[in-house]
Amino acid sequence: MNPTLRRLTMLLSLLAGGVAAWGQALPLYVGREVCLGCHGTPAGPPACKLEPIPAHDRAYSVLDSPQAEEIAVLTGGVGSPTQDLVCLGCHAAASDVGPRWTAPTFQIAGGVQCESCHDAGSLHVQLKRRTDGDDAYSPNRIQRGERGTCKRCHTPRLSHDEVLKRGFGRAPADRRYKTPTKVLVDRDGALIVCCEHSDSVLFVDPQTGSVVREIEVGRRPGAAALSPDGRTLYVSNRLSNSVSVIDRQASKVVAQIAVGAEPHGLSTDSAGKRLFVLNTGQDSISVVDTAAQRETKRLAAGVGPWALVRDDASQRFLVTNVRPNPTGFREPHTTEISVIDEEQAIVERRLDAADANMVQGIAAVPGRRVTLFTLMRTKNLVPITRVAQGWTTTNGLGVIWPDGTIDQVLLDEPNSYFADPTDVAVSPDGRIALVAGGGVNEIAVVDIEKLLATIRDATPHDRAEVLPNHLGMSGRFVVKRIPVGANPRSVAFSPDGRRAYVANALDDTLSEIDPAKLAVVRAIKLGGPGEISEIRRGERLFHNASISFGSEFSCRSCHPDGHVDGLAFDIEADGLGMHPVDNRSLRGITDTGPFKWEGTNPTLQRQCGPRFAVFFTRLAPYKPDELDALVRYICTIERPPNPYREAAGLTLSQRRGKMIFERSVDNAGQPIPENQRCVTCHANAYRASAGKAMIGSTMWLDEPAEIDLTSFQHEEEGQVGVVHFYSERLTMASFDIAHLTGVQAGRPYLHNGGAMALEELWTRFNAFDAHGMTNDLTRRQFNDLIAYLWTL
Amino acid sequence: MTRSVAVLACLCAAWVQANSAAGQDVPPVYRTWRVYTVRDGLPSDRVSALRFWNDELWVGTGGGLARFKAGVWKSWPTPDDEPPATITGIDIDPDTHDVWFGTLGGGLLRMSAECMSRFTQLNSGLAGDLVFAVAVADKRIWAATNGGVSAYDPVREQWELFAERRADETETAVVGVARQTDRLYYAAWCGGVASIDLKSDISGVLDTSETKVDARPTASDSTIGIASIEDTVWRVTPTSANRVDSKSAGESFALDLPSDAFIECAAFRRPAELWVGSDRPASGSERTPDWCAEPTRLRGTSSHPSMRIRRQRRSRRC
Repeated sequence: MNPTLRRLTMLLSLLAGGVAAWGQALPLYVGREVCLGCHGTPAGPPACKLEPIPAHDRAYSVLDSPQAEEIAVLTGGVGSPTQDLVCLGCHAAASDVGPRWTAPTFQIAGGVQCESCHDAGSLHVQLKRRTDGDDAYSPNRIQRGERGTCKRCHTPRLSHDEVLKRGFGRAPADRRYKTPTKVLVDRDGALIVCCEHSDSVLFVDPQTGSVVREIEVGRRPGAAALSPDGRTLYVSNRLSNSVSVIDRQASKVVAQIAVGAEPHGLSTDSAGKRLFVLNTGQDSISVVDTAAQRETKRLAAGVGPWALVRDDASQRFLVTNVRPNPTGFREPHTTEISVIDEEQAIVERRLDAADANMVQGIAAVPGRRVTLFTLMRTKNLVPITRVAQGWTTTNGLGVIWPDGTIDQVLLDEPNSYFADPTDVAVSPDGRIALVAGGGVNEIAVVDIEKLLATIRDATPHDRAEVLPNHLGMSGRFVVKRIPVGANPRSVAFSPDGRRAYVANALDDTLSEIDPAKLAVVRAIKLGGPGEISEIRRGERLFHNASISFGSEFSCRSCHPDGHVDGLAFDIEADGLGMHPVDNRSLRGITDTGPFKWEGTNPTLQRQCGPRFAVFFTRLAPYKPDELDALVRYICTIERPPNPYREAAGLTLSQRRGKMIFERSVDNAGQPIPENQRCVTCHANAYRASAGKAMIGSTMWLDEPAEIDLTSFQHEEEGQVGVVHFYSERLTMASFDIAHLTGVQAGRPYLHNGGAMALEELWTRFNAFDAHGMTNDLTRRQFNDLIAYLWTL
Repeated sequence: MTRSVAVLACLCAAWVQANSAAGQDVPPVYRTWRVYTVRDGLPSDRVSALRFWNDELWVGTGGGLARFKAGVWKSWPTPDDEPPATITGIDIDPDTHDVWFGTLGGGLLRMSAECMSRFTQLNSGLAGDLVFAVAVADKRIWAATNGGVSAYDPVREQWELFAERRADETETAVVGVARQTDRLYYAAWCGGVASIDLKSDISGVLDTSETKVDARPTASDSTIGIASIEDTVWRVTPTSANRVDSKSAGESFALDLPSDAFIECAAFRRPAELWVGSDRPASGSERTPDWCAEPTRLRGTSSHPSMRIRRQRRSRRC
């Protein structure tokens, strides 16, 4: 480049940088050409010994290839690898900060560039000097390429090996599955089906059973709702964080409305003026003005709001929540049913379903002012090995009475559980309820009058203590279990009540049920490939409870949508409450081994293999080919888009937080030991590294650890954090270094779930800087660090 | 307790009278007062915060939160507090109807649909657990704390901290926040007044060229409160109240409080009427808490309201 032109370009870039940085003196990424403008000339400052590296130059362009697409699938990526932050983390500079923090001279197509190792250089360019050793906010800091920088990316990747060495590629069928997750019936009896895998909505003629129309919507549509006049269909797109508005007359999407994270259930008010959208991934409810087609306000829900139903008598919406509210450490959980006042569009009440979790489907009983909802009762505080006694997970129904009182009953039978109840529908005459058992491929038929009589006849004590746990009561009101297709997730009645339809997610069909005969009378094919790929087989295994004793639970029971149920578990039969471990998300975990909090399982095959049978399921383990299929599916569980990250990139606060995350000197200007820097352990694109670390989180409930405190080389006593002072006999344990992608959605935190908020990792459990040096941070710096972590 | 009851009585009565058209011509101090106590349903007689909202009066006490609506009291204890933290400020989110309130030592709390959740300096980005005032503005929750002003965006779940060092505070404790249309003002304890542009989040100290108010503290004239009404914002010191918003023309009026007085609350009932609650009498060494303010009008060039402190005898039930 012409030197004059280069200088002019540099000047413009710095000027633009000032704007982008809102006047703050934080550096921008300027790109390789600007760096080489000085360092690439014979008379200039020292050039990088590693330049040129052709593979670095191509690092970005290779993402636009079929192989990269397959690798991205194995990392849980959603969309193109050229847009995926995990992929870009090692394939392009400045991807983490985003375009807001790049100068016009920067080109992401340059792949791995000087600033990939040396960090943003605009201020360095401006000052034309190198000044190491300043604090993290110093405007003229330029990072050195330290040892370990290369290893952040140049480490073995299972995802890459599977594709590049072993030739993995999705089967053609994997691109053609429908995966119906929601069925609803309009006033004319037409069927509307949300298909998660094909990102589309199907319209099915109930007479012929044929698909008459398919409309593409956003990513992973999970639920739909009609406007009161039936002319408009609203579809929530779980991985687009949006709602598609479909004009049914025109048969096309006419608008996309941005809402919160992972939207699921939605419904209009009775006038059709407002749309309530449940943001499952953000614990909130978006209130949308349907005329203006924009969100007007957001309400606080419980944790993981999932579905809602309108109670016509009270003009209230009742909202289920998947995960329990935060409670104290090792305390019983309770899950919220949120009540929305339709007129005011506010959350008016919050009902508690004690000891329940995975509260999902909900339906009002016409004429009775009673509402039913599905639930699980997970016994996470006692050893999960007690599966044979029904002490792992039980599955049932909740009943909400007009005064807000809640009763719970089980749909299980001894040794024949009704795993993963996901949806419930009530016949228009209020006589029966159909409950979808996603883990057992069955529909339970509940006689509502018998159910209510069972509750009414019980004493207050029995209603509180016995009915919610009694495995022998379901025979009083469950009149039949109807086998349907694979993984039923949604059920709906026709308006006349003569038919009910079940969406079988994992065989791409609808089961048509005759309520009079209580039998399936037809299977409606929705157009999937009709064959089962390895990934699909694994997905079925993941969602099927037959692997556990009595079909008590499936993998999905604790990992809904591949994520977490928000509970910490007692796993082994070594005493009640001993060694609790927090549940961990399965989203995008392929390259994050070793697995298990103790880090003892190098592969997912080992994690999900025989030990899984010993500790969890108490039946024969998966066969080798089943295990391979299961692991293959787990590797494809998708990472949702981060709601806290703007398209333009990090905000000022988040950018400052990134600099704290990557700092090597403390606020006093002293070097931070390498093992106390965030970026040392949380190094790669997943913000993780393969290994374990002692972060002072050992507690008296944990197993004896490798290192005795008496021999631990540190002058401070009580290395192990605030909660661990209870015992002087403690030894120090190390735990798996958790990856930080999606950390904002992973509450609670620590290996035992002891930290209810991310902040508590450092405000309560890092008294001696064992979990990174943070105690010198100012409040603003600390807030910035948290703000950055939430963008990962 | 006596003092607090008195403060509550004054302010409750003001509220009652404000809703009485017949009483408009009579200064509040001469009207009939009714005192509400725990016997009426308050969680504590130690009243420390008040907030009028629609047809509701929200009361913060040393024992929890209370609401007076349609003649009925309902109260909620603050959870997990032993002893209960004193509630210092209350505001209501008009969108969600969530009640946000600050406590001395217990952080910031949200009561949504009668369920409380707590934000502290340990589990959130709150700058300090001593919260002196709370305001909802620009879809954010603003908390005046001992560590500065924390702003919480409940939609983005992000915290911002405003601790403007150029505000000449002698410490970062912020004792009050007040909002204007597009600007939020905060008062640093024994310091100056700073403002934040709500659109840009740029904060800065008010200087004399902008507001004709010297924001720098002096030994006898330091900021101990802030109050707003309509489009005006007033800085309260032990000796005066100065209008400090951007449209101010230098209005001020004198208060006759001792320099060590701790103003518990300063609030406008209407543009012509500023009410001040303090732990000191208006003058002299007598430690009676029974005083209240009589609204009057400023004599001079300005048409803006002024007030003076008038001591009242206990027998007046003021």
